[in-house]
Amino acid sequence: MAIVAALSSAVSKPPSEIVPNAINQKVAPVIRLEEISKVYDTGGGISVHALREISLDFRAGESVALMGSSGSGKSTLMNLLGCLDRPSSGKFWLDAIEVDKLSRDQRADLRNARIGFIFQNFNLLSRTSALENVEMPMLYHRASISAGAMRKRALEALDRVGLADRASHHPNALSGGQQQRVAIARALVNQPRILLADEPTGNLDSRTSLDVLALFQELINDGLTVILVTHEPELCPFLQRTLILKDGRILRDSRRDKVGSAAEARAALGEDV
Amino acid sequence: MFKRFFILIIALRAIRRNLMRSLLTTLGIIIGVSAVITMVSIGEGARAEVEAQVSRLGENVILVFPGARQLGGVSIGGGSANTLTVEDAIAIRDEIPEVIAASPEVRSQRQVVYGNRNWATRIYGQSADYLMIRQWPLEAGRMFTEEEVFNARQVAVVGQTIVEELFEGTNPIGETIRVRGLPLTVIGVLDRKGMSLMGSVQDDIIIVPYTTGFQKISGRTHAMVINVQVFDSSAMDIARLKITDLLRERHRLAADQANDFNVQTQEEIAAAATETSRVMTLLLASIAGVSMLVGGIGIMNIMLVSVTERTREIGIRLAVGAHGKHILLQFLVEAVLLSVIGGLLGIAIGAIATHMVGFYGNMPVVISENAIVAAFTVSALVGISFGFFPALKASRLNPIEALRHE
Ligand SMILES: Nc1ncnc2c1ncn2[C@@H]1O[C@H](COP(=O)(O)OP(=O)(O)OP(=O)(O)O)[C@@H](O)[C@H]1O
Ligand SMILES: [Mg+2]
Repeated sequence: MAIVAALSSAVSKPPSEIVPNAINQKVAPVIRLEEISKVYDTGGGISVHALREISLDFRAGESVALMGSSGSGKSTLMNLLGCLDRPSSGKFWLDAIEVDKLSRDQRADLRNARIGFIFQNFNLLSRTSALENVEMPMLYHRASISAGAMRKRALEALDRVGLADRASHHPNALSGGQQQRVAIARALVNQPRILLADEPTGNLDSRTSLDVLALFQELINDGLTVILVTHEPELCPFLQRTLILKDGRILRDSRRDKVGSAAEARAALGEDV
Repeated sequence: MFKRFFILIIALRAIRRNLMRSLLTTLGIIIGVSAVITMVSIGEGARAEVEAQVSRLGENVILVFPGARQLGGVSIGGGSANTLTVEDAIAIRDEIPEVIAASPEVRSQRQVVYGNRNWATRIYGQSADYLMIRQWPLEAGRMFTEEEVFNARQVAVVGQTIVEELFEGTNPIGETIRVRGLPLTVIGVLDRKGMSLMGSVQDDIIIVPYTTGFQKISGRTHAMVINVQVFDSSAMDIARLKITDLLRERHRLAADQANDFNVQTQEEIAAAATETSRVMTLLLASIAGVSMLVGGIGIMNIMLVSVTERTREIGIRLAVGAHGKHILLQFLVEAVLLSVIGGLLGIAIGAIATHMVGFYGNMPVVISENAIVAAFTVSALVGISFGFFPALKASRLNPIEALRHE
């Protein structure tokens, strides 16, 4: 897509890694987890084992649905993948960088440049326009970006999610689906390699969910790795791989050969009456 | 590299979003700064006044002030005690051979009107030989006579500033000016004296017979100071002793009672003035310190609330890759902006208050540039030091916990 070509400077990635996953089995994984455990200390001597010795690989361009009952450790895993939290034990590589050896600021740079995080509750700054919300990650980018370039890139990202005409609106003047798309634009603006979404469609109706999913599929075609947590099994056919967690362990890890098109499914639903 | 320019914008937006609260937050600083500026201006005014008094003195002049010796040994502004009478002045002149002239002085700050113009100036009631004491020549016209003093005639000798401001440079002799309805005929114009050491204009003056000054303008009964001239510098010490003896006798002071007046030469006054301004500055500096402390605590308080309130915002910024130091800087800049804006408002209000005190309080004031610069610098420092702790707290938040905060 044009936008990815335009947003090309921040992260250097060898062209071979952008090739869709079906062909490139031998390429080093984008993410590798080795016996990752996470134990929460809840005080009073009680500890919760949210993740138990999980080992996993994610390849470039892969799309993953992360499922499991409430409390199974999905959000905990996503926070670790997003470098927002650190595991209690185990090893974790992102782009061959061993994340656990990084400092707090280095992890922040990693989040800024390589990871886009999308939350169930959008997490936009409320009294700030959509454009400024999208510009925010660029403020913290290591490379110096001029105000004009920032604005241009933010507008391109908003255009990509179909919200160019809402750039000046504040989040409270936008619908839930629109807010989530602003959040996606914000996640994309620094051209990350990985998009992590924790129940991105949890607050959206089924039509809007498919819109968002169609957008994700475009990004996957561009070579992004997308991992999304969902409670809705009907979304799984649109993603290549399904991971099911239970009590902090992987219960099932399955791939499908044929992935449905969310855009077509959305078109089939038609408009709301 | 984080863009410094953007921190400013982020901070300005945050302040604008909570305009009312920001204003209330800075109230401590505003009050502190304006109080400091007003007080320093009054202090400077008093100092300029003393300075002007010192430089106004002629040769071989002794000043007798009412009241006991005051702070630093000099009576600032004068007129605080009512112990010196016109008769004391006459007695000093008539009964002490070394004294050749004595003028009981009374001052009033008044609005003076001529035609449709008016001007606030200082009116001095003096004796007929006052210009001799001051060695101050006339440019035109004449000084009032002893007969005019005796009869409390409504005549005036004016300084150059009055000629410029009221008469726009035309010849004022023979014209009538009014002070609260009281007509005064201008009979003389003083030579230009220029600035005193402190920069106060000595030409902004009107001199009238002291009888007129006491009875018709000020309403006072006692002299604010008695200007005495001794015939030769060698007689200063003896004249001083004789004046003291004479006044103690006239005031019927017993041997164990302290003087209810004080006699000073020009040199003593100059030395005391320096001491006074030093003490004054110290006093004001400590008041400034306290009010700035209070203002700073106010800012810290609100910044701490603000950090708690905006925990989610901080979480979001951290999640998209902000470093701790970016958050630290953001909140620090906000605190500094708050206190600097407070400082600027305080300076404006202080300047206005100073003018009001000068105008309605009939007090000499000099707006001090040093005080303005110091107040501004201190308010910025207050922002940095009291904003640092809340900002540090914000920068150390854990992104996940901050995001979960509601
Ligand atoms: N900060 C925390 N402190 C203590 N325990 C925690 C913390 N965060 C999560 N847990 C516990 O870890 C386990 C996994 O939580 P997690 O949020 O990962 O579940 P989840 O799969 O995302 O659930 P849901 O579908 O409801 O979002 C739960 O038992 C939860 O109580
Ligand atoms: Mg969860």
